[in-house]
Parts: sequence; structure tokens; C-alpha cells
Amino acid sequence: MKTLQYLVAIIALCIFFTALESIAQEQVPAQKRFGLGIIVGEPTGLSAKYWTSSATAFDFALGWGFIDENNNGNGNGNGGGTEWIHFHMDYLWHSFDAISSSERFPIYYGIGGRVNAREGDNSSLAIRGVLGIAWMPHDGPFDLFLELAPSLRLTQSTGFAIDGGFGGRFYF
Amino acid sequence: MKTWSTKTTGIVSRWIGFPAAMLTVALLLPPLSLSQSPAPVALGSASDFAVLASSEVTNTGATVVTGDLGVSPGTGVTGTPTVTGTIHAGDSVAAQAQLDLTTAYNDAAGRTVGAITVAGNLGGQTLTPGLYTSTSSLEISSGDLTLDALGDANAVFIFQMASTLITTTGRQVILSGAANPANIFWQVGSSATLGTTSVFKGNILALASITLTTGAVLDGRALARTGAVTLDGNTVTIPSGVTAVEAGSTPEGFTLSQNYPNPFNPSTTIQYSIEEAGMVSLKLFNVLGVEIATLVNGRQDAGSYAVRLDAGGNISGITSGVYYYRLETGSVRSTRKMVLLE
Repeated sequence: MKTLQYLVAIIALCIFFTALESIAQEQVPAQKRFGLGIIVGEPTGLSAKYWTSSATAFDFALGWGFIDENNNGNGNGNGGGTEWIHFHMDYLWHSFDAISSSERFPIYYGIGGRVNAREGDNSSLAIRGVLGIAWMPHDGPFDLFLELAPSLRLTQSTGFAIDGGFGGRFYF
Repeated sequence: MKTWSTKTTGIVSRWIGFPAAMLTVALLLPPLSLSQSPAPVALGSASDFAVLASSEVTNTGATVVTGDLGVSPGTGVTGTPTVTGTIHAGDSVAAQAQLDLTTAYNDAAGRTVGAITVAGNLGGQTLTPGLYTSTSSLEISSGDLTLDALGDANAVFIFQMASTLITTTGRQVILSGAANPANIFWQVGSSATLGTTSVFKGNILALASITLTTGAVLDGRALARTGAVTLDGNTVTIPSGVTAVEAGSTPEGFTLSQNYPNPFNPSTTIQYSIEEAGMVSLKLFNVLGVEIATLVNGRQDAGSYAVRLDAGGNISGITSGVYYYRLETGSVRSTRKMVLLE
């Protein structure tokens, strides 16, 4: 049940940021805004990204998490198992001018939420910050990315962990 | 022996001479037909200037100059025109522009191939691309002058005149058939005067001075080699589009230079060179790879070129941010980044 509540909370965050975006009222070209691919690391699974403007985007990931955060986090040793279903969603801002290159190497940062779910009542909710870099080649509708996401777990018990991974997406 | 020799000469002249003459005519024909649209005049660094004078620039009224304004070797700029570019009063940039203007002037004045002789009033006429020459003055005084590029945006008009260029009150140069003011050149042997509220198109390269009387509008450049430029409540705007920087030379390699200024607001210039003639495209993209504008798309000769980009002018609807421009010709391409700051 708690997992459901967390998902509802994340969806509410989505709606909040979408509302923020509509205030910005930027005209976004309606092509190749949605990318789908994989992420390897924490988590490992599917990754998606949806550009809402030329500088902002939502990203999502659904996959497996491997870090036993109860043991690694506050060390209380009551973790139950080593695999999680991990879902996160972030709102990202991009700076294409931070790196001086004619290639597209945006530095991005953002905030978001994460749900780690597993059997029983051991699911947790965390907020996370994101810092990453992407390469978006001029000649292809895909990107490659590398990111780190410091996370603050809010439920079960509080704790700190660093998610992170690399991956790529194809844009439609 | 003599008879044999005479016969031989007759055969040679009949069977070889005639085809040789035809071949000569055939070889001469293509240059004649190509001469309809001459090569553009390379302005060099003077292409950045909407107004360039030698002695001084004087202004009265609310003049708006889009592009740089310069004076060299003089330094005087009086009357505070509104300039969206940079004012170069007697500096090295203006000095170099004057040198390049001299080169461009001499190039324009030295063209001869396919020249069509004109005289007096051009008003009421419609002219197609080519080289037009007058041994005295030219004026647009009775009716407007229409320049029809026949659908070719790269078509060039060059007007040579030994003395003055004058437009009278309200007279206009009207462009049709994709004619581009960047490719219209007026080589004026003495001074040019644009009449009150007249509307003029093209690059004026005057040996002496240039005067824009009250309310005259110039979509082009006022470039004076030895005299002053006098303004009075005018609008002078550098034409957008491609300007040849070094026509006739063959650059070594394919280059796409960083735009300048960068970051920019509202206008910037992109220079590039192509080693071989061919189809060339220069396009502008946003950070998501969506095409914003096509700046060049057509066949170009080998050479160096400059394209002026004006946010709100030839490129409308772009906002602050990072953009990429990509030059493509044949199998080679190059991309660079530019930043618009508002």
C-alpha cells in the first residue's frame, strides 16, 4: 500500500512540474522530444526522457536496484534482500553552453523522487538530486549520458545514498 | 610546286579553316551567355558596415543604422544616430574596412565583360541581373526602378557610373524575382544622393561622399571612400543573406568559422569557405536538433562567403539560448555553436 502512496506522490510531483512548465509557455518543436533506452548502474533497466523545452526535461527510469541501502545507508542491518524494483523521476535543467564545444554536451542537473520497492513492507521513498552530462550527436537521434544522483531516503528510516549510472536513449 | 602549294592552302582554308572558325565561335559563346549575372563584388571586412565614411559621419534626426558604422581616416561621428552594431571611429577596424572597400571599388569599376550601356534616368525600367555601365551619371528620377532577379537569389546586379548617383523624392528601387540587396552593387564615380523619403536597395560604393536626405531608407550599405556620409532621419540596414568575401580566389579547404560576435544580440556573421563549386547548405538548429532556419541552400562557386544572421530580421522567433549552425557541401559537413543573448 505504501508503494502505491509513493507512486501517487511522484505523479503529483509530475503534475506540479508540468504546471510550472505550462507557465513558461515556451513553444517546443513537436519532434523527437521523447527518448527511450537503457540505464546501467543503480538502477539498471529502462530509461526515458521527455523534453519539455530546449533546456528542460523529465527523465524516468524503471529497473532493478542492487544496493542494499538499509545496510549501506544507516547500517542498521535489517535489510531484507538485495534486489529492488527502482523507479525514479526527475525534472532536469540543461546547460548547453557550460562546455565549450561544437558538439552537444549538455551538463544537466535537477531534482526528483525515487521509489525502491520490494516484497513485504520494505519499500522506501527518497528525494534525489541529479548531476550529469550527456552527449547528443548532431547526426543521430540518440543520446548517451552519465549521471550521479545523491539521494536522501525519507521513509523506513532516513539515510543517504548515491545512485548513478550511464546509458543511452533513442529519440522518436 | 607553286600551284600545288596554292591548292593545298585552299584545301586547308576550306576544310579546316571553316570548322576552326565555328569552334572559335562556340568557345566564345559560353562566356557571353554566362556574363548575364556577374560574380558578386567581394566587400571583405567592409561587409560588416552599414555606413562607412572617410572624413566624417554627420547625422540629424532619428536615424537607425543596423550594422556597424565607421569612419577612417577621419574620426568624427556627430548627431548620435542609433546604431545596433559597433561604432568604429578612426580605429584599425575602420581602417581595414576602408582598404577592403578600395579593393571592392576597384573590382566593381574594373568589370567589363558583358557590360550593358545605360545613361540618365533608370526610373520606369525593369532590369535583369547583369553589369550596367554609364559613362556619366545615373538617376532614378521619373518612375521607380525594378530589379528582377528572375528567381535566382544569388543573381548579381552591378551598376558602374563615372559620376553621380541620384534618386529624387520618393523614388524607389523595387526588387522582384528573389533579388537580394546584398548582391546589388552601385559603383559611383563621384557622389551619391538619395532623395527625401526615397527607398533604395543595394551596396553604394562611392568614390567621394554619400548623402541620404530626410527620411530616405537604404536596405544596403553606404560606403564612401574619400568623403563623408551625411544622414538625416534615415533607416540603413545591412542586407541579410550571403555576401562574397573573397570572390575569385580558391580557398585551401573547407572551413566554417566561429560566428562573430558571439554571444550576439541581435545580429552576427558567419563566414565559411568552400574549395569546390557545388551545392551548399547552411542551416540553423536549436539544441534539440530541430531546424530553425535555412540560411543558404543553393549552388555556389569556390570561395569565401559571409552570411549575416539577424534575430528578428531574417531569422525571426528565436529566443535566448544556444543554437548550432551546420555547413554542408558534397560529402563534408561542419557544425558550430552560437549563443543568442537577449
